[in-house]
Amino acid sequence: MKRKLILFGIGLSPLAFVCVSLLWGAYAIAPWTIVKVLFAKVFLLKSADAGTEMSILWDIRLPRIILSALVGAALSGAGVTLQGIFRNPLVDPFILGLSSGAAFGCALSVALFPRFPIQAAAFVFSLIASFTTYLLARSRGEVSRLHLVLSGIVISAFFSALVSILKFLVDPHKLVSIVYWLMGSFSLSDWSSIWVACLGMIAACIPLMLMRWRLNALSMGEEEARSLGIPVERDRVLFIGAASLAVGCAVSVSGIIGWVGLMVPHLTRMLVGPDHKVLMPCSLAAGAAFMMFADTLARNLTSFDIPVGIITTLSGTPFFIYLLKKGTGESWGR
Amino acid sequence: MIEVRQLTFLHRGAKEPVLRGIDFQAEQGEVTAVLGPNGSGKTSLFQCLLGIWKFQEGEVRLSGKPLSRLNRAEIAKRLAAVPQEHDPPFPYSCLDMVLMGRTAHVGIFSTPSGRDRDLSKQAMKNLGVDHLAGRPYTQISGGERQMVLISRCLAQDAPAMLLDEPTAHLDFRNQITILKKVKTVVREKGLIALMNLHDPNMALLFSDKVLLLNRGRLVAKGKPDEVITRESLMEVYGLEVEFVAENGYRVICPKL
Repeated sequence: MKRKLILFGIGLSPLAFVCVSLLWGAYAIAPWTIVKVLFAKVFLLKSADAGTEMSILWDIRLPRIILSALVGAALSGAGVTLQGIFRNPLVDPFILGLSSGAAFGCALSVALFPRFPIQAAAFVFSLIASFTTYLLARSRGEVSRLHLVLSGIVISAFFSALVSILKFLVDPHKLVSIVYWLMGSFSLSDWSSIWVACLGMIAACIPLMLMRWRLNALSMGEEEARSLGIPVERDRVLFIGAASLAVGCAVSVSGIIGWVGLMVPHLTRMLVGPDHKVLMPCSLAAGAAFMMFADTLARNLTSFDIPVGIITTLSGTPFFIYLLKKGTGESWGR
Repeated sequence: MIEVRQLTFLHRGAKEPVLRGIDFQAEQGEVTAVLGPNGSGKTSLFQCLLGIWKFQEGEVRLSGKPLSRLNRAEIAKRLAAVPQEHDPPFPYSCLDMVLMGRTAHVGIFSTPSGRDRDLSKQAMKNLGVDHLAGRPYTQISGGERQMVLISRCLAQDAPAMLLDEPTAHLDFRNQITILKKVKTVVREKGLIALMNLHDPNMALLFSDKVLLLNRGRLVAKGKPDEVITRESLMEVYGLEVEFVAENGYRVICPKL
């Protein structure tokens, strides 16, 4: 019963935060107006008095909400996947270098090749980073946990250094936008810029959802997964590819937002247990909800936009420490 | 049936083969024990049978089909394995552990069906561990873990199973319980079981056939009483032993 309640709560949380995010903003809009305006827009009705509200809701708040939800879902989905296939609760897209790789791809595209689509560059370099980390850590068919984290740190540092070189080379105007964007922010969101990234993140989350149950067997280690009937190499390539696409697209629109990919999977695992069949959808929902929450705070706490990466880290850390101290072993089970 | 013909295996770059000319077959309804000192090739043999390590010469047939022509899922449907040491990174429930046995039967883009769950629960019932279904695997005892892993083998629904030292790290009582259970299940379901053992006494008590390995060669194979003798144990383990007979049991006792 308690479990059903938890699952229900996690499932509904994104919806709740959509409402909160729509309502709470610098320009106050009454709930009834929101319903009216969106209803009018969706069903193409003419509405006489909704000009300002319409553009605030439709052009400013809604894109950010959709984008932050998708980025949150993509990052935590990638986190669950990486922790599962590498049977390592310590890893996330940031630690394994996917985020830094993607960031380099984006910075490269912004600084030197403005014609090359930024999402594609992010995906390609996130893919390069993840596979390099994986191959570096792999020796004689096994991936050791320690080696994986170490090679992730190396790759991550390498791509961060490359980003620094680019920052050094570009003109100050571009530098400002790279630096601000690297801090992690949704403030640049508008409909035209997000749809490619949104499609990419959705496309990445579909295989992660469909194949999620296999993460259970994969997390038992290479030999055992093989003896259970899994072609480990093929499955790993599929999972790493999808996770790289998710992270690449997320980073391309919002920069590096830390913590979400590590924290949300852990929090969700503490709440619903480790079975990936349940864990994956719950993490996607919780990631979406958490990111909408963080971005709403980022918009509203001060008169200017705080980079959302700062909020996720600041709000995530104490919560995580609390759960870590409270839930010793037992609560991780179920 | 598992048929192994002239199997020879060496690690990449190594000069000495780990296994040479291994030749045997394991039949339905029989427990075959693989005995041999550390490093004699017992675990390597299992890795080769599972297709995890590729052997250079010889042939392995699982239910009549050559191993080399089977993909991972097809192998898993013919041969299930109980791994040796076990420490999953996440505290899966015991039912989730057993359900993993259904992996080869569940499509890549799919999750286990109600039937898969029923089969898994039935497998746990067969081994008398259905009460553990909801417990985290990381919190149960070593003996219970073995039982759960053997249920997973049954859920995998393969005609043959490999058990890699199923009694390692278990207390005396649990060793006996596990081996008794394996023997009963194998009889009842007409399965093929192949297991690595360290204790020749256990092989005398619980196996129908014994393979004796030494330095990668199959020294002897056949009925336990014929294979496990003073001479063969001397040759393989370098130990002088006596046989003590009591109440119809033959027990090996090392000379002190």
